[in-house]
Amino acid sequence: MFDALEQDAVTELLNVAVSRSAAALSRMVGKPVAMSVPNVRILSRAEALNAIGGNRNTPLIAVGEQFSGPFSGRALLVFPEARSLHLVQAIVGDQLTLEEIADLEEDAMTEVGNVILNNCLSGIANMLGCRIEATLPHCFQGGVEQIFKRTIRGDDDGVILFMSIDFSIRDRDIGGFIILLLDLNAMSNLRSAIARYVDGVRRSLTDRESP
Amino acid sequence: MSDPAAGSAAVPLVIPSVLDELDMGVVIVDDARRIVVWNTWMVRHSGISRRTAIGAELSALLPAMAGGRVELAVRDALDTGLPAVISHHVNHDLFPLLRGDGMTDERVAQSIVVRPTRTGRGVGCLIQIYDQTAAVERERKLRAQRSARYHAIVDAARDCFVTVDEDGAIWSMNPATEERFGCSAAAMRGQPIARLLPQLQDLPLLGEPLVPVRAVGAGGKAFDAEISMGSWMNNGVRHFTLFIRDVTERNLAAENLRRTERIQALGELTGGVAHEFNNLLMVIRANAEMVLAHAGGEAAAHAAEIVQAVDRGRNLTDGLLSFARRQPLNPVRVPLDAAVEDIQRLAAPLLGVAVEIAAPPILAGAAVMADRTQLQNALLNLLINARDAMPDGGRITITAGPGPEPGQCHIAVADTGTGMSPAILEKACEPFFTTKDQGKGTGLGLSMVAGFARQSGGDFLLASRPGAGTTATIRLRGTSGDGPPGAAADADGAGKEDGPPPVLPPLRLLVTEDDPQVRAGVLAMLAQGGHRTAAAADGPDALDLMADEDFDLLVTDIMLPRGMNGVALACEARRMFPRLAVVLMSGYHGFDPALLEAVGPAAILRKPFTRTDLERAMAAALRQRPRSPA
Ligand SMILES: Nc1ncnc2c1ncn2[C@@H]1O[C@H](COP(=O)(O)OP(=O)(O)OP(=O)(O)O)[C@@H](O)[C@H]1O
Ligand SMILES: [Mg+2]
Repeated sequence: MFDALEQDAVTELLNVAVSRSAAALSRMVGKPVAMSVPNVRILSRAEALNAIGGNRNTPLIAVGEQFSGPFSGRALLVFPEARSLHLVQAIVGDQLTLEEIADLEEDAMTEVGNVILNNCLSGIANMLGCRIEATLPHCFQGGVEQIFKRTIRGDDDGVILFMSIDFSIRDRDIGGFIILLLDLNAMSNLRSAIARYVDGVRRSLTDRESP
Repeated sequence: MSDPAAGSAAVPLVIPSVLDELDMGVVIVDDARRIVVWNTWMVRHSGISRRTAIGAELSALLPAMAGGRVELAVRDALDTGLPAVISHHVNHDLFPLLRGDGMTDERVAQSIVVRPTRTGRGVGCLIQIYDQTAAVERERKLRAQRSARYHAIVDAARDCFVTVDEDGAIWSMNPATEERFGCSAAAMRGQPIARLLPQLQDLPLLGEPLVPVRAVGAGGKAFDAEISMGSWMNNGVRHFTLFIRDVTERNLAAENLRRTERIQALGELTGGVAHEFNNLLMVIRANAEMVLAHAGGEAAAHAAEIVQAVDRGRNLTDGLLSFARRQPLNPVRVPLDAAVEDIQRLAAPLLGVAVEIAAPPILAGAAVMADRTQLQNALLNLLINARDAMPDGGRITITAGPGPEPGQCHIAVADTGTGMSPAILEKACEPFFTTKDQGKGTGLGLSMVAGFARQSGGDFLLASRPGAGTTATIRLRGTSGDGPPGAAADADGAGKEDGPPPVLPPLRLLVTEDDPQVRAGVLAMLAQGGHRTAAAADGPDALDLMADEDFDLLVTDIMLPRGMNGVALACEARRMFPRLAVVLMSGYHGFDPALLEAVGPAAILRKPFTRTDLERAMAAALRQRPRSPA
């Protein structure tokens, strides 16, 4: 779907976007947050299900947004529930008990998901040079199948951009996944935007080689 | 539409009036980030008038919020069209709003939605502020209620409670845990439970109802722990509460109990065997003595050998019985100074020249209640052990005196010998345990000493380290009574062991003994004294005989069949013949003094015995028998 250079370009783009999320998160937490997006893959729904992996019953927490405009689709941030409690704990601090953290988990995760997803989306919007409208984030809890059933239906013909993200806050490593389900038009828009971007990169490379 | 203010902000007039009715904050900024709507709720809670607010830039109006989440969200909404949710749970730099309800000046806990909107001039941003204070308060109360009882128990508990999630990460621990493991809850939070309990590395162990582990607590001190686990679901994630209990002491007690039980079982066995043996020895000895009395020359010499062998056998069974705590004891008042002096004198030839023996002065008047002979035996055993532990010589120190407990006295034998390894020390008091070469030690010494001490109502302690010598301590009941030492010793004739055999007048004797060979042996011993003897195999038979005949003296075994023991028989017989003299023969029973009292004066004769022993006991019994009432 992407050639190697395009793949690099998307990865780089999302890495830039996500590092903005990290900056926003660290402002929120008041502590440094390191975040990375190792790679971006295009997967089928079934592959994405497997990639999230683990036990199908492992409880997960997901934050989803629907976006529209020239670039439309759905964005989903998924964490194992156990990790998300650690994440929330890292954000709100150690003085709260486990019960208290569980109580505010949904609020906090919705906000964290919102920050991360918005930065991804705005990174893409920047590149496409367009505005994206999005719904308010929603929080989902349950096993991977349950979450997919409510967010990425089996009859969706969109393309899934799948990336795992890792970040660490206060020495705690928290791994999760970002899933972008792009409508077909969004995908072709993204591809041509990437083509333009890659072109630009190629041109600057050749410029430098032949002064 | 004709309102100039509304016109300049290009917001339809109707909207602000509705907005002012809302129970929430509404702020709208235009694409230049200037405030165009600041509803009445905002005026009330921020204390900033609409006049001041309208037209101002958000971060200029509220500098504390500059660069914060709200400002960034506004920027995103304007630039890219993406909405944001902002929660007071996560952010600290939200709108500076006070509740202003006339009662409190609390800050408003707020959750905020920032989303793009349209103003008359184009793109704008709508900020909705929801007051969450009441909800927060309600949650807080609920939580406090929910956890108050839990924390009341857990925080005060002396056992350790730790909460972990299914990944084994620690969430919380109670103060007892911090103290026990010498760590702080704050530092351990989020750490793997294996840091605290390495055996739980194996996560499948989580959720096992009971896991025994060896734990290392504060200061590196190891202890046995038992972890019981409860699990509960929290937002779909399983968590575990570990309840860690120190069971070191309990395990130790259980181990001691097991050992005591084993020794007791062994005691039953050896006691039983020794009893049977005593009966056999009795028979052998009685017959050998008959041969000795009648035969001469070589046969007599052989018989004397047999008698000697029987005496050695008796020493052995004595040892077994005292280990089994079943030897008949005759506790008398034994002054410690005399006892220690005697034993030094007795043992001196055994110890050899290389071994020096010393005893610091002993508090005069300190005395114990104990069987004199057995105490002497016990001390002799300890001294010989000490000697054997010092093949190249050394020093033995005997200390004795009152204490350590009130009403108690102790006698300790300390040596400067090889000492014992923990493994040997643990087994030293078990019967037949010996490290000595075959034929040199029976391994009964210490088990006898310990059995004797316990049977006398005291105990026996052994302290030793390899290379650091050994101290063996017997602790016995002390006595303050200052009656003549050993006054009661006459009772069993043992006190006169060395005197000439007594001369007995011809008597009417009744012998009751269930073992026919022993019975025959006793009758044989009595055959030469010119007595008239009758014999019975059990209590009822004996009583039948007594119904027909008068007797001066009853010689009876204590253990008798048919539901009537020798003590009961003696009681019954005394009812018929109040002046009846009684000799009780005993195989092993450590009898209840209260029972003996019921009999009244009686001589006790330990099996196996010689004819002389029997005659002495008979003499003693006759001396003690009740005076005739007339
Ligand atoms: N004072 C001591 N110093 C070092 N080891 C000792 C001492 N006393 C006892 N032991 C150890 O305990 C073992 C058991 O002692 P115990 O007196 O019960 O039997 P024994 O001396 O071997 O044989 P026995 O006393 O029957 O002749 C000894 O074999 C020896 O190993
Ligand atoms: Mg010994």
